[in-house]
Amino acid sequence: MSLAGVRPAAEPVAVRDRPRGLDLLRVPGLGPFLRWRHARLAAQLGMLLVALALVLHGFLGPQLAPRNLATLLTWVHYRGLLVAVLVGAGNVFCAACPLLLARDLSRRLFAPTRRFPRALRNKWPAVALFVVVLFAYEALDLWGSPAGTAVLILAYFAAAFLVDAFFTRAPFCKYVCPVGQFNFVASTLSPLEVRVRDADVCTTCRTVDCIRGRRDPAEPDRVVQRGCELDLFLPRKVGNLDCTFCLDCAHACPHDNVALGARVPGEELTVDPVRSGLGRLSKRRDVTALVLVFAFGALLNAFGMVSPVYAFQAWLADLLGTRSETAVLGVLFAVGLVVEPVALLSLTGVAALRLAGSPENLLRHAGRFAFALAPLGLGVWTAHYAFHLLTGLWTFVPVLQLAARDLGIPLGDPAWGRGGLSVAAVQPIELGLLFLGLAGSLGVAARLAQRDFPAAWKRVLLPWGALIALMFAAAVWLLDQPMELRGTFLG
Amino acid sequence: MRHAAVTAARRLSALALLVLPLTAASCGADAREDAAPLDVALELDPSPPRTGPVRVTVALRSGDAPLAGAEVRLEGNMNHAGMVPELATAEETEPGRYAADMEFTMGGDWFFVVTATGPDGQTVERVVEVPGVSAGGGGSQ
Repeated sequence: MSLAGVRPAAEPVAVRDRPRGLDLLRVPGLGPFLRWRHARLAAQLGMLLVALALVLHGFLGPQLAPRNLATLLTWVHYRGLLVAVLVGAGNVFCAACPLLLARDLSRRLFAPTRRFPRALRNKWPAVALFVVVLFAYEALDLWGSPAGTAVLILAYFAAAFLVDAFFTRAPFCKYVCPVGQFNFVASTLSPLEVRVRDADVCTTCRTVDCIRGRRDPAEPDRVVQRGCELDLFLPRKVGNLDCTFCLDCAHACPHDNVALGARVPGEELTVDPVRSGLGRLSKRRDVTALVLVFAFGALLNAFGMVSPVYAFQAWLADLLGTRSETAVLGVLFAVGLVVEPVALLSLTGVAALRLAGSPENLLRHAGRFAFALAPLGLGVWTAHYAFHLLTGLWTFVPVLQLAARDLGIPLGDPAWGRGGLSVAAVQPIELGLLFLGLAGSLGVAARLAQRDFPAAWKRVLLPWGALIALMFAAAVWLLDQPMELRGTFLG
Repeated sequence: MRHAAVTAARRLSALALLVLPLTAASCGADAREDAAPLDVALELDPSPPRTGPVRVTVALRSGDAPLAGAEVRLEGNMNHAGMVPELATAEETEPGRYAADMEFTMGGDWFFVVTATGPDGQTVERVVEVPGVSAGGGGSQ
């Protein structure tokens, strides 16, 4: 929704009433910290220091990926912790994102006044950038390039700085940042949510500071505490999509009526109300595409790390008559992220509608049920990243010692033997995460089928359950393949 | 492709360094690498390499002569982060030749860091790339 659509409640706002329960903002110790106005800045500064260290070590440290903090902490620890926190809590990494410091700096320097172009106020730019990042990761071997990883980190900072230098609100977070979009989709499965604490309070609220921001009484044009810049009007906010957990709404609310509460993960995928800042998901093809890239991208990203991919790429190169690895990778991405999802969802949707005897439009039907693939997608991402995090958990210790030694700081000789759990110990964890994803996807699909086809929901669930099972089987097969990571694959 | 990517990354890095108002000369690349006239050659058995046990033989030559009596340490690692490196001290099997039994724990691109300390106490470090170790089993992701 646009800010212009928010009226100081001459009419009562329609609040989704939820039962009161756990509210982390009121937990002793944690609550006061989260409600501290500078808590976010403190977290962002901490993350900025880490990012700065990664960039410096990426450029100036050893150009061997296992010996460099940029490649190690970015591709092993950051990604693993990111999904772990998303699954265990919520979109905390967006809340602590240091890129926003670049945004705040650009705002101070340029004081932008324009809104992001209307034609781009959707997820399509972010979907494209999400694919670009996944492609660049493979094509440029970023996992093996400390300097390349440092360039990527700087590129994120530069993008945040430039986008928000020109446009007001938070267009970088909402429409551009690929990591943010990943977090938004994943956080639909998170157990925490920022929400209204008492619906009755909002119905009488006339200032709507949670979205307009709190104003200086002496200077009404001056915002002393910003409200939600991602256009999520809290009383009409549904779920975690587009929420960065920044808690600006909590700080702005004069009634202290915002909670960071527990909820059922994934439930938001089974309902389709008008969502503040998003509208109805069933009408958002761009959000559907984002979820599909999230789900199928998880399989593609894992496929890029196992032995059979090289034989497949060699076969593909022969078939295409090319020796260009970029071209082969491009075809692989087009198949994995476009052809395969479209074909599978079309076949599944046609089968479901026929079994239900429904005349519904295929695109509309498949677009709704595509959201059921998000839990399995998160299961695959989490299993994949958990493998790297858990098997390489302590590998940062010797690398840190090495970096400290180079700086003349005595932290002892690098203890290169430090690793993490064995592959055999991690595999059951991976399998468990995949099963959680499978259960989540089947649950969401069942709820969607019950909601949209109450008389024929089991028949509708059959093909969608088969698709989910097929993707789950593919993920388990990938898990069982010997890992192999090469910089080149055509010799 | 990788070489092109690395070259591009280096150029971008150089550009970025121009705008970074920071100097951190002390955290440069490994300080023990030098230009000593030492020839390091690596032999692997089996060859071509595949996952599993591997006999690594290092041949050291100083000028035209084999370098005998050195202490040779090996670190095998992959070109991506997060792996526990394979560490070994090589035994001298004949003058100038040092061997160790190690293991390729996963398929993919590997490298060996060969650290040799000569009889004169001088230490030399060399990185030898071993690309394309085929995955014969183990190391599932």
